[in-house]
This record gives sequence, C-alpha cells and structure tokens, in this order.
Amino acid sequence: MLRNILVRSTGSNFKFAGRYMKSSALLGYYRRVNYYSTKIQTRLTSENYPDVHRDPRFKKLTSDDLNYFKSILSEQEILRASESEDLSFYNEDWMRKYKGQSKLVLRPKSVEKVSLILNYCNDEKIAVVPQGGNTGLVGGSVPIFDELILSLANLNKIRDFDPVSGILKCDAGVILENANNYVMEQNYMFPLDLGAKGSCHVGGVVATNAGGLRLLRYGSLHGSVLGLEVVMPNGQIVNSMHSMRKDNTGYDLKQLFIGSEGTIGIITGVSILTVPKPKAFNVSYLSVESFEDVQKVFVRARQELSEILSAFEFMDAKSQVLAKSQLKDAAFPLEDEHPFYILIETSGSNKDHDDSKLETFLENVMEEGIVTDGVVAQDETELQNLWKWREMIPEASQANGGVYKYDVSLPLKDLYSLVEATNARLSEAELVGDSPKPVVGAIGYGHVGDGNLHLNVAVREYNKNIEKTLEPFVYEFVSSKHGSVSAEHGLGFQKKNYIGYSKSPEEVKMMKDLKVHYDPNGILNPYKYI
Amino acid sequence: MTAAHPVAQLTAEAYPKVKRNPNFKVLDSEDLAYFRSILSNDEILNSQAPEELASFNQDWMKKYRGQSNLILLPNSTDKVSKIMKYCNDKKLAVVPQGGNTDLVGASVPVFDEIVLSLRNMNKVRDFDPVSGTFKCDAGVVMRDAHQFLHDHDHIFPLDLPSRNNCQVGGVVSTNAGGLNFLRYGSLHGNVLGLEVVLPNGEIISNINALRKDNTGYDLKQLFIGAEGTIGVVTGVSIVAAAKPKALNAVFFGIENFDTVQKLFVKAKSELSEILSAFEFMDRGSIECTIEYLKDLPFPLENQHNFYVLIETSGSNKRHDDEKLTAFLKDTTDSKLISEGMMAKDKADFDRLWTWRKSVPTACNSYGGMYKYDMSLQLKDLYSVSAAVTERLNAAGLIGDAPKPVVKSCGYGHVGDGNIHLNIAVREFTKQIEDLLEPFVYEYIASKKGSISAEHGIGFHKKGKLHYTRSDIEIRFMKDIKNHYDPNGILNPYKYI
Repeated sequence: MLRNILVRSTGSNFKFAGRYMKSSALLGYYRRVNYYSTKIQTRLTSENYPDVHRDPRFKKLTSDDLNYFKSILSEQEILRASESEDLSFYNEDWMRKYKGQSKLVLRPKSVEKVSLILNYCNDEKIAVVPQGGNTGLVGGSVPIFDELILSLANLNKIRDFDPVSGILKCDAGVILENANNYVMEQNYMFPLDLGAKGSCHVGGVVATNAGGLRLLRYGSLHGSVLGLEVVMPNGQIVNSMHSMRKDNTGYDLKQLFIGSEGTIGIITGVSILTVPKPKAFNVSYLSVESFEDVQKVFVRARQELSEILSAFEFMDAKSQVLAKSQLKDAAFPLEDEHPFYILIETSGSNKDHDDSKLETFLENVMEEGIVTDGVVAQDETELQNLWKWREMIPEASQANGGVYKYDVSLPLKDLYSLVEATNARLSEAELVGDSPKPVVGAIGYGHVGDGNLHLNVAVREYNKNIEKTLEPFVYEFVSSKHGSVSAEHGLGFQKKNYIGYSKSPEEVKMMKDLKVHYDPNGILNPYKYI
Repeated sequence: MTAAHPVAQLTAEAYPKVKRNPNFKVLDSEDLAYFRSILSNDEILNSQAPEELASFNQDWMKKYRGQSNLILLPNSTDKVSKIMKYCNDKKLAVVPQGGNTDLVGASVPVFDEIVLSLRNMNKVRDFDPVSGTFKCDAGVVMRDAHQFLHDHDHIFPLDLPSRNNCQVGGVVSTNAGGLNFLRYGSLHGNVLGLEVVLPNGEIISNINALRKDNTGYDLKQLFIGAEGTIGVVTGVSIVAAAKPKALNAVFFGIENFDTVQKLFVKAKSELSEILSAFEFMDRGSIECTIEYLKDLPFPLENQHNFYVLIETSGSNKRHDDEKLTAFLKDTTDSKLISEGMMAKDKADFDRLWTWRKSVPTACNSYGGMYKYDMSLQLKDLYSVSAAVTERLNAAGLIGDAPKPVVKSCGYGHVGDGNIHLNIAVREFTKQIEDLLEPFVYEYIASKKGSISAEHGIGFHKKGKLHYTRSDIEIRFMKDIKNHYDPNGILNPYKYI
C-alpha cells in the first residue's frame, strides 16, 4: 500500500528539550515496572544457583573490618544491614533476577577513600562488588553471596568541561542524565543515550561498554572515552584522565577497562568527548514486507541520509502487537499491520536541509516499493509518540508475566533468522500460543546499524521447560553465525558461562591471564565475567 | 627530535649506547634451512651485503639503518605463525614491517633483527556493502584499500599522505591518525576485529567480530598502536563509511589563535555533521610553502598570522554549499576572520588542500628539519610553537643565511588537539638540538600534553614516555610486553 507522506505543517519546530519529555515518560514506565515487579519476591542467587559456591578464600566480615572502615569513612558513607534495612536496593539487580546477601555498603566520597578500601580488602581478601546505578541487565553489579558493595554514588562531581573541544571530565558516579544535562547547557550532547539514563552512572556505562541508541552516529565508547581514572584491586590509583583526543604513547590501557565490568579495576573518573548538540531532529516510522527490505532501506538510508542518520531501528510485527496492548490510548501510526517496521531518526544542524533529505529519501524508497507505508513526525509530540512504539517493547514483552531477554550481535543478513529459528523451536515444543501455553511468542527488534538484535521471548510464566528449549540453543545458533552472545549488555553473572560461544579458547585464556594479573586474589567482582 | 638525513648512518654507530642484546641468537645456516623449508624462494631475501636490503633496513626519514641480512615475506598467516614460533624458540629477534612509512624508526631493525615483511599478504578478504564492514590482509596498501572501497561507494575511515606506500596492518599497528580523524574518529572505535600472530606463534583472531560485541576484555585494543611489540597484525576488519557525494573547502586568514578556536567552535555548531577537517597553519608554515610552491597563486590577497582550512563532506552538495556559504558570510560579516576563500570546483578544492599538504615538504626543502608531533589542550595548542620560536630567537639562531634555522613552523589538526612543530633548518647542529631537547618535551609535560599524538614511540621516542605517562602506567605497559613477549624477541630496543 502506497500512502502519501503527510503534509508537514508550517512552523513546526523541534527542540532538543523534547527528548527530555520523552525520557521522562520513559522513566515513568520504568517506575511502573518496578512497582509491578515488587509483587514478586526476588529469590537469593545462591539458592537459585546451588552449583555456584562461595569462594572459601574470601574472608567473612568481622568487627575489626568494620572498625577499619569506620576509621576512614564518615557515618553517611557506611550502610549496614539491620532489621529495618535489608539493603535490598543494593543487593537486587534491575531485573530482580539476582539477589545477593551483602551486609555492608560503602559509599566513599573520594578516590583516595576508594583506594584505601580496596587496599584493605585486597590485603584481607574481602570480596568487593563495585556498583554504580545498578541498571545492568546481566547481574554484573550485584553480589552473589556476601561481597562488600562499593557504591560510587557519592562520587558525583563534574570535574571539568572544555567548551572548545567538548571534553568532559567527571566522577564515575555522575548520573548519565545529569552529565548530559550539564553539557547540553553548553550546546553539547553526551555521545551515548540509554533508556536507563535517569539512573545509570557514567562510570558504570563505561565499565559495561554500554551501546545505546547513538552508537550508529557517534560510535563506541572505545573511540569516545579519552581517559580514565581507575583504582586497581590493590588500591593503586591509575590516572589517565587525559584531555587529549590523540595520544599515541604506548599501549592504550584504558581500553581494557572499557567493558571490563569492574573485574580488573574500579573506574572512578571519566574523560569523554561530547558532541555538538544537534539543532534539528526528525523521526519517520515505516513499514516493509521482509527483513531483506529492512536491509535495503538501511543501505539507502546510509547513502542518502548519511551524515544526518542517527538511529535506524527495526521492529517485527509481533513486537508492535505487544506494544499496542500497552499503548492503549495511542493511535498506531499506520493503518495496516505489516511484517516489519522501521524507525529512522535524523539529527543535524539545519532543519530545512534535513527535512529535504528525509523527504527525498522517503519518496525514493516508497516509489520503488521497498517501503509500503510511512509517516513523518510533524511536531515534537508526534516525534515522541513514534519513539514510544520502539521504546515500549521491553515493557510490553514483560507484561504477560515475564520475558527471557537475549541481546546478541549477528551479521546483518542473518540478524532476524534467530527470531524465526526460536519461534520454530518453541512451536515444535508446543510451548507457544494462546493461554494456557506458557509462551506468548518470540519477538525481535534492534539496532540495524550495529547488527544488534534484541530477542525477547514473552512468557506467561517462567519454567524449566522453556529455559531448556531456549538454552543453549540460542547461543549455539548465534555462534554458528559467528555472532556475539552479548552485543550490549555484557557478560555479568548471567552470561559468564557463554563467552565460549563468541570467543576462542585462546582469547578466553588471554582474558583470564589479564584478570589474574591485575586481581591475583580475585576479590574484585568475583563469580562473574570470565 | 627527528632529523632528516640524505643517507642513514648505521643506527648501531649513531647510538653507541644501545647494545645488541646478547640473549638473541645470531642467525646461522640451520635457521636459513628451516625458513627455506616452510617458505618458497620468492618469500626469502637473504644477502650478506646489507646494502642490497637497504629499503628494508632504512626508515622512511633515512635516519635509522639496521643491518638485517634476512627478509622474510610470507604469503599466509600460517607461515607467519611458524616463523614466530621458530624465532621464539630459538630466541631470534624479529621486526615486523609493513610499508615502512613510519616516522619514529618503529619498523626497521636496530641491529641484525630478521625483518618479517607483510607485503605478500595483500588480499582483500571480504566486504559487506550493507554494514560497510571491510576485511583485508595486513599487507594491503592503503591506496588499494581506498580504491577498492571507492569502487563500492565507501570510504576508508582514515587517510594519510603516505597512502601510496603504507599498509593497513601498519596503520593499525601504529594507530595512525591522519586527516579524517575529526570526522570518523580513531582506529580504537573503527577497527572491529584483528587477526594477530603472537610472539609464540599463536594466532588470535576476532576478525569476524561485529560492530557490537561486549563479551570480555577488548583485547584487540592493545594491538592497536602497539607498534608490533606484542603481536604481528596479519588481518584487519574495519568499518567503512558511506562515501561522501559532496566535498567542499574554504581557506581563511585569521589574526590570532584564540580566534582559530572560536572559529572551530562555530564550525562544529554550524557545519556540525558535514565538518570533516579543520586544519590550522601559522604564518611561518605558509611562508615556507609560498616559497616552495612558487608558481601556485596564493588563495588569499594578504598575509595573516594564522590560516585555517576547513573541509566539509556530505551527501548533498547544494545543502553543503548553502551551509558553508552561510558560514563564510557570517564569519566575514562578524569580522571573526580577516579573509576567506571558498573552493568553486574540484580543482580549487585540490589547490586549497595543496597549501596544507605541502607544508612538511616545504619545511624540509631548505636542507632539513626537526619534526615534533604532539597533543595539547586546545587552549595551549599553539603555545609550544611560540615558546620554541622565542627560544630559538633568543639564541640568535633564526633568520637569513648563515643562521642555521630558517623558520619555526606550527600547524596541525585542531579537532584532534594535534600540533606538528617543524623547525626548518639549513643544517643540523648540536646547538639547535640542545636548545630543542629536552625543552620541547618538558614543555609538553608541563601542559599535560602528549609527546606523540600520531607518530608513536618507535626507537626515536623510547625513553621519553615519562613525559606523558605516569610511572604506574609505564609499569603496566612493561608488564604487558613481558607477558606476551617473555623472550623480548618482537621488535626489541623500542617502544617501552
């Protein structure tokens, strides 16, 4: 069905501030998730995973240890478990899938205190979990047993910003949204955007090498991070907080800490290159009939929208069906249902030019029949509304009772095949269908430019049968296509045993060597990663 | 300090304090027999007369010359692996070599190390036009990579003046910066995967890596810029961008460096996504270049203290022209710039770039030059050039003949905070060298800059890492070298 692009109303003006409203709305949805989830008590990780045992090398905290921490930290920097405070906020992960039993949270206000804590813990062999905003999805920042939690929340100062180069230096505990707000006032933008931006910390974002929606345009953190301040497991402070975009002196050590998930050092400071704030935003929502057409549209967008292309998201039909059930009051942007949908965002410095490029692009792909239907946001409200159809998918996937989430990378031509294969496997096992079958369906959506697929298996309940059908099937499938079992979310505790599906034994050995070298006592974020 | 010499003196003679490591075996006939058993005739160059192997022993700047009498040119990764395993077992020192275009002696032997050349590994392995992922052997020459991608409507995310000689693997090993850095960023962000042969011969490959792969430490990052000291890069996977359909350039005359910075901020705001280069040159650089390019008309009417070349590239020429024209008008009307000229066509575009690309050659044309490649915060970027000029003037060394220094020139990439300092000289003298070093390095350290923004460490800047790196960082680096190359056979006497 060929549908004319809606005539743009004159005088419409997009301001970046609109993105806040969208984010605030999104944050509201997340709060609802939390409220809903509190009805289900999180089980202890140690009970759910009886095969994982507490490492006997690690000391149990004593009053001597507590006295030491009291001698270097103020009262507000120490949180202890008590009858009225079980520290569940710190012990449970964002998804409420993992729960540790830590009795002590330390929240140092300076790098020197972090250093003293780690030096002591290393000497005494006390296990430590560094924690930022605790928004990770693979249990990477919560204790498994009784590890001491070292929170970076009190390290929350902006240290420096150079408005000429755009280089921001800040403490690791600065909340991502606050960092972005700060540079926005000076016409810059953080090169990364996450749904969890209201909670996650800059240091945690770097430690997990978060991807997010801006990777397509601004690249990965390996290119944006200019320097780091890190406290090593033995307490030594390594300061590479450079202001230089180019520094070709020696091995680029900071790169190892990006994505290391707090296993070889605690990031306490970040120097990062922010980007000029775009003056114009546009969003269009399109439908196509096959995943091959999704790829065709992507190729054309890269050619014709090129430097203004800032997001290219695809969603499958079922993901939008689920989203509809959550967005009851919102009108679906298109008239009919289609096998695949595409959300394209452009951002640039000149609205007229961007509008013109987008119009020409859409005319071309619709005339050629690759795109069957589409709309362009006419104003800020519509722009936010179109984004909702993408951003609501995680919430919608979970609304029937739960979701099994997989975040994987695959070559583009194979990107959607995992969803098809998973649905086929679930059907074959007669697990998918209407109630009382436990699986609603496997849906797929993701970032095309990054080759990143989010596979969400929406379920009415969690059960062993589903899990056995999905794993290791999903990982074996990804491996067979030379993909990665974790595109964005990292390894954490959840995917610790699956690294072999994406890395060779030689690579895994090299990684283990690095861990042993920097953390010989294994105290830093144990039981995870590798 | 880098001094260009017409014919290189033996490094061993020029630097008598550097001794051959007695742990390294001297090559013998059994070693030769082994290499002949795994390599074909055309993969081995062996001569007892080092002059015959001069192009492998001597660096691009003709400052360093080794005495290797064996060059191995394997045509596969497996052969590289066998060579490294054998050399590691026998403790034979090895220097990996690509196009040998680096500027700090990183890819030539110091004594009699075996040269392992990648030039026979020159195949494009794969290209995915949907994602832009390009995979090739390390020995593919940059010019050929550019041409291949150009034919497929893509652009390699890095461009270098030495593109006709340098190889993709060497570019990655030295973490070259180049002219596209402002637009496409660093290799740390653009390289997706590497295939590397470790000193012990093990092959480590994540060349099939995708754009997002968040599983474990990102090991490839260590090999980017490692200058062949912990592994030999044999294959590269990199993301190529869509080729721009429109190119434009404008040349400005400006009176002070503060205004250069203001212009940069304005360009980032108004040209934003189409800005692909922002180069500055000082008066001295352009004066040298005007003399050098005698017959080429200077694009501006007057002389100025500073010049800026801005390049834009995008997908729509009309839009880009409008943006750049508006930018030029606005900066002229507000008197931010004294003078500006916009390219009218491709020939104009190339001519404007000639004024930037000719600066190094122009500075070198009086007899030689001392080159420094450094990073500083933008506000301090030009201060090192001014400080050096003042120091040379105070010593009465700059001026007309017979004074030895012609001019002290500063130019570079503003967006990267990268300044190239070129001291154009009629002759090399100890007095100049003593004035420049360690003054330049100490100055950089005092401003918390980097002594090597682009060119790396190599042999030339070994021992100078402490001007930029802390003791703990240097120790960490040495740990890594010792861990991966416990026998120290891979590219010894350099780096750290």
